[in-house]
Amino acid sequence: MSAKNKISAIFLDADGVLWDDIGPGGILSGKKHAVRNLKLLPSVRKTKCYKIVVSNQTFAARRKINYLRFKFFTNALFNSLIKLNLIDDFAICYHHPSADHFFLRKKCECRKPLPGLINSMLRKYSIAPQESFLIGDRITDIQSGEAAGIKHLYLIINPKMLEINENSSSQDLQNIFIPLKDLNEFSLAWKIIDEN
Amino acid sequence: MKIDSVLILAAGRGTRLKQYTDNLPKSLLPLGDTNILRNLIAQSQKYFAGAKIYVNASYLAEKIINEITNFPINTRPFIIWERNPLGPAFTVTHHCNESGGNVLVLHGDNYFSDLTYSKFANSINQKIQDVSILLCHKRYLDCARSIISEEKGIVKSISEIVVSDLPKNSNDSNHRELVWSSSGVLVIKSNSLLNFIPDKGEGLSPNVINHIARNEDIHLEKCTEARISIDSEKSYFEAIEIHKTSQKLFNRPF
Repeated sequence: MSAKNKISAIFLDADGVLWDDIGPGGILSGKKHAVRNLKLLPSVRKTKCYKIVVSNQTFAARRKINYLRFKFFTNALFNSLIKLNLIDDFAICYHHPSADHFFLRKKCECRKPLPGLINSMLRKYSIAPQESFLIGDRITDIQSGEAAGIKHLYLIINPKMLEINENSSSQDLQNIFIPLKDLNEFSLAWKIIDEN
Repeated sequence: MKIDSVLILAAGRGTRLKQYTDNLPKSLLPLGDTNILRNLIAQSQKYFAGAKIYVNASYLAEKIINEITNFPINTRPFIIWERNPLGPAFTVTHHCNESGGNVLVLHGDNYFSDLTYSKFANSINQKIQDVSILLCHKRYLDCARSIISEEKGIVKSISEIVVSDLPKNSNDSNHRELVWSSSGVLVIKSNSLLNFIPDKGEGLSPNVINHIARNEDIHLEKCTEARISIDSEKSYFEAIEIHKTSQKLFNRPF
């Protein structure tokens, strides 16, 4: 299969990319921002390019909201974005290693910077990571993408972008990315990539 | 010789310019209408069109990342972020071995006038043979930080001089002899560092350069025009002055 025919994806973080990062729970008021921001992303390209949201959501782990209620809300939000053809799928990690909620207290393989969320989507759609893109607003997003073999990594700049979390490994010696002012800049980059 | 990528080393703390670098990485020190890093990137993009530009950042990396976003998205350099600086030898070796192509390495505290940069860039671009290249300039022995031993234009080895080794009496005629010294620019031919294992925190000189010199030819490229390694207040002011008065060969993008 030639590189042009391989299935690719744009992996998008949620907080700080689809909507402003206002801390856990930002998702609750995120939909209108997500619709606006996702409309910025181009839907061009001859070959299939999935748009997939991969996000850590710890609001329920911190007992700020009932877990099942939060999961229901999150699923409903992202499913509505799928129905609007703005994204194709989503994968969420609700865990936190020191969660107040015992059910969500877990050192999982899916919490970014680990690549579990992305890997599950790569397998599900047979996506070629070397043809795929990731846009995040934290270095942990970049680390997650690198660990999954994603080739094109973009970091939206903000004051918290270089913060690491407990899942960052001491092996993360270097991370390579292109910094973006905002999501709109990715659209400009995409046009250049798509033309080539 | 085709340069596939340019790697600018800007991760260091700039301790010798501490009075300026407490809140600003050394590579972002202003130079009139530009700064050290922006000048290097603009020159690299002008003379090595098509090469990918990488900037290694660690100390106050967020300021360097912000600066990079001023470049248009289609020519924006990549950031190589290191939580803790790994040292030039490690960063360069890793980049060369991962990227696989010919790499131009520039120390992020170098100032070159446009004329200087264009001369060595044209020389690199026009070389037919693929060889590693070390840019060197003549210095008095008592001022040189590195000494290069060469034979017919080929670098044989490089030795570093620590400050305490510098001769105390600079009027001694023996110490006024001119020697070749590294100018902080190295072109590394693809695959030259495949078998090199760097130590963490190690500089490019002497081990990286000597490793290449032991295994293949490193061409000595003469730098005859203005270049300054900005490692003291005096050299910083000198760079500002030269930048102010030197001829600009192209417009900066911003």
